[in-house]
Amino acid sequence: MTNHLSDEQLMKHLADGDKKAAGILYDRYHAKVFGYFVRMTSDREASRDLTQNVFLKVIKYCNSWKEDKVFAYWLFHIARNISVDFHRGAKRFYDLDGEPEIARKEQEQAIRSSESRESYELLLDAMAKLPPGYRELIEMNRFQGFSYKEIAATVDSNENAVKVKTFRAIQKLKEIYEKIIVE
Amino acid sequence: MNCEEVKINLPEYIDGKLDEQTTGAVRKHLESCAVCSELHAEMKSFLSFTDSFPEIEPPHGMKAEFLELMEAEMPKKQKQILMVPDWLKVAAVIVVALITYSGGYYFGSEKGREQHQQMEVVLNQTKQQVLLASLQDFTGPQKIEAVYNISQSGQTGDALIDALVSTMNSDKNVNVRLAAINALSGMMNKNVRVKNELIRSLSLQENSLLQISLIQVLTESGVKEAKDEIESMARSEKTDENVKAFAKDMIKAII
Repeated sequence: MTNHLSDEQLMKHLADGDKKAAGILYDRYHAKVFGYFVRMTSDREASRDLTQNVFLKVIKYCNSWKEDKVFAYWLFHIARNISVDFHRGAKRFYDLDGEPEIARKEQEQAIRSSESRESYELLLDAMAKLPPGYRELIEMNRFQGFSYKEIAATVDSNENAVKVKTFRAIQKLKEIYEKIIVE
Repeated sequence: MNCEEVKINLPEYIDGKLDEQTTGAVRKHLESCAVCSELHAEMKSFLSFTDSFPEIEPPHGMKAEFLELMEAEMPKKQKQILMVPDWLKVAAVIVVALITYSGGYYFGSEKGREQHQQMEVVLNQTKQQVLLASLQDFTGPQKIEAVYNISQSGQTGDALIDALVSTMNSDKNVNVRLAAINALSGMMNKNVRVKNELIRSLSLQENSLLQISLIQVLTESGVKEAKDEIESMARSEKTDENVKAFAKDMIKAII
């Protein structure tokens, strides 16, 4: 019955306590959100938990969502905050561990250990090697299809700066990807 | 258009998202500049590859897991407390009101309807007085029930709000204050004053639980006006570390 409703109409249903609306929004977006986290963290297991966390926050904060906000951008905003927290937490863990270099090398080794990787996996590797700021721009512009204007609003910057940085991010990704292929 | 300007426009040029004029300018430059033309060809090929990246398939069982988590997370319907502090007074008014109403209905007279309307006003006033009296006269659990009764009454008059605000800010019992915060949060959409009182209370509460409850109520309702006050709490040295962490997390909800 509610399957044909827009995301924004479903949010209103959810705010009224309709659990089915949450299920439909989950069906529509969980793969996108999961893909986002895999590309941002290179960790499928963590991405699963982070994805669930995003949708639980959608339920928790459904009353603070405003009707004039596009649901997809609002959802991404939540995912982005969770991603930032995750990276902050990971950094803290490494700091406490006292051997960040070892942890980083182990992670790289784990990535390299899988044999006969396809080109998409190599692209994921290249994404993981991008500086986080660039990775985020690639994610928003290429994988989530956000315009420069929408990205600027999300990262609190101006459209022209985002345009320049996105170009650089694409160039950098291409450079890293080509280097990985040669290796 | 020079090479630098063309370069930063290339992704949008490839995506076909530039306006007609800029598209024409980029095209013209590419026709005459071998370096940019090569860069364009390389970038077009690379973006075509990245854009064909298949959606990463989520693990099986995620939806079922989410539905279980959701069940635990969805707010439970608030338990309604039925006790009214002074049944005799309320019951007496209800009886009189019903008699008047049925009399007016039975005779179909204008006078009967007027009487009924008057009695409705009296009923509401009396009910409010009973509720207010119970808030002042009793202590502990009885007060909490009185606060719940107020929240269930659907009334948002100034006298009720005064009583609840005073309870929220000065009652000796933390649980009573908590009940007042809860009751007031349900009135935010009906009376503009309530929102300001809840924000003001942020600076008055010293108990961590009450501070957290206020932050939660305000952020989950998307009250942007509370942002400065919550940020100030998150920065203050006096604020408990747990409250600080909660404030920082919740401020993200005010988007």
